[in-house]
Amino acid sequence: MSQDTELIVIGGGLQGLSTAFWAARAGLRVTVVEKSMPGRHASGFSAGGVRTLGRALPEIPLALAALDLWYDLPTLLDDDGGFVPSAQVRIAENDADMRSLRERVAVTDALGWTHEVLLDEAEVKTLLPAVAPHVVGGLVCRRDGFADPMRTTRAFLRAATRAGAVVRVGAGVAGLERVQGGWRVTLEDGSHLGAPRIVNAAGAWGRRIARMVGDDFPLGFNALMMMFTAPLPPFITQVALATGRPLSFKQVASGHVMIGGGPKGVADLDTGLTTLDVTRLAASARTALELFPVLKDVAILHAWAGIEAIMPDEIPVIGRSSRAEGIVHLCGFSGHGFALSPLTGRIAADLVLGRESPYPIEAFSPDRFVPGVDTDRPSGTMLQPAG
Amino acid sequence: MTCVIVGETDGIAPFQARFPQARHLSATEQPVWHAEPERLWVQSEEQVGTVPFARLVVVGEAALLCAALGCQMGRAGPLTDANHQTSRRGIFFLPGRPDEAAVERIAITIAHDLPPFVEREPPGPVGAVARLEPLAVAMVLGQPETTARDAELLGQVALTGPIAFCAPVKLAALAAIGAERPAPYPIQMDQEGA
Repeated sequence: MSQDTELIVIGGGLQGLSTAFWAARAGLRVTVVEKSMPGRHASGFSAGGVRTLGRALPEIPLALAALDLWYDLPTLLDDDGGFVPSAQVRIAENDADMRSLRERVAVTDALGWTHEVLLDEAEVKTLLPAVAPHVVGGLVCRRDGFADPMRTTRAFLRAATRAGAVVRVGAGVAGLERVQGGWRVTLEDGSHLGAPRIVNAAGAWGRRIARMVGDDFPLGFNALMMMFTAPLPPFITQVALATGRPLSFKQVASGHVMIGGGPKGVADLDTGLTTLDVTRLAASARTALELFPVLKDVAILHAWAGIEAIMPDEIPVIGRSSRAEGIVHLCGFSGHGFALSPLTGRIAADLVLGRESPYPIEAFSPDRFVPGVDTDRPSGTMLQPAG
Repeated sequence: MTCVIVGETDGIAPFQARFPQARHLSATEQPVWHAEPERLWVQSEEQVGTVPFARLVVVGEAALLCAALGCQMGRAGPLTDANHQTSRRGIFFLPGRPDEAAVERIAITIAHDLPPFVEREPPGPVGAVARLEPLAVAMVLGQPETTARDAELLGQVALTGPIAFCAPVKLAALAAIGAERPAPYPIQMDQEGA
């Protein structure tokens, strides 16, 4: 069949749009097909953390390189995505938390990474004057920060379009078929699109796309919940995370405080809707209040959840299909793909262009759960406690 | 069968005599800040709690509450039939203080468990509403409740689904029912195509 375009990116979230941007910039004719609207799900509902702190070990090289791109975003996109370099701090509430932070630093130091710095009690309380008295220490990445998810998504959308990519909204994929010279994509309206290369950046729907080309990996999903309080006078500029329980916490310029970090509601892939779990939001509110007593009189205005793709080992799927030529998978970011997106789109673009990734991506292989492949999680990953 | 009537005091007053067994929730004394199928979340000074319902009558400005319950929404608020029943069976909506006839119609509909007959509005102009990110939604929710504010929020409901919360809730009151470390919620798995 004739090829309408040189690359079809399935999914108009941040990963897909970043891929489209880098691939179009490299000279490919790119079409993004998005079932709903750009940033409709995980990208639009992300907490927006730009974090190298506490990354799973295989993600660290990517997170550090992606962080450099965040600082360069105005040059790349003509927009900084609302990036605020603020530092991120993981708080130790007790001796067990502090032990785990020390163990983490021992592991990262031994591997030559020095971006995570231990803080003793006095140091963490100097950095976070509003933190609760029981806090005993912390771990900080001073170059980390946060950004505005929708602004970043729109910035990549504009930049990709400027580079020549075509973005089709309301274009869900109903089927994928191998044809001579590439792939034939059938859209839900019955129309077809052909290309030699496909990037699967369908987020929580990534497994459905993978199955269409004969691949499979255990990509699940969750509805990660967050809340915004009413505005308060400024009391914290950093992003704070807990160690032994799920919490991510920041105050934005308007004074509103975002509370997230892992509490889960219920997601429905067929409707694209989520249901909040108030009892888990309550646990999150409790953690926030115990760590920051300044919240005692504030009201919560808004709570929401985005549907995130989750892998059992909580690291993404990035790599070429070993069965389906021309297919690259880029999904399963497990709730922390936002910060990586400026780089991971570039890696996906490199892979479709036939180049090798300059960053180590073997750990993210789509085949890593194939029986016989070692699936042990590397030690010292320090994942966010689940909620 | 638990019947709950929600709204401003003068709005729910006409139901007192006709529904003496119902639970009457005054918006000023026990504000509903979130709603789920078959239960409402209310706030007292110290902590939040739930009020179960099998039948619900909502009086007054309550578009977000009805949206949270999955009622079909029009541009001006919840769609209802001639019996004031929304698209969700057993959930009724009245935009203002009801007259005697309206109360009676609702009573008859509940007594006979009549199904709703709500007709969908034709879709509005595509692309008229811009997606707001969560902070912007929070800022709108922080404004006083007006028809214009709710119309803006209903535009977001049409784009991304129900907006929470219906009303501000005190963080400390919510935290009061929170477990210290709830068991992790499992990863959901997609069975389609398996």
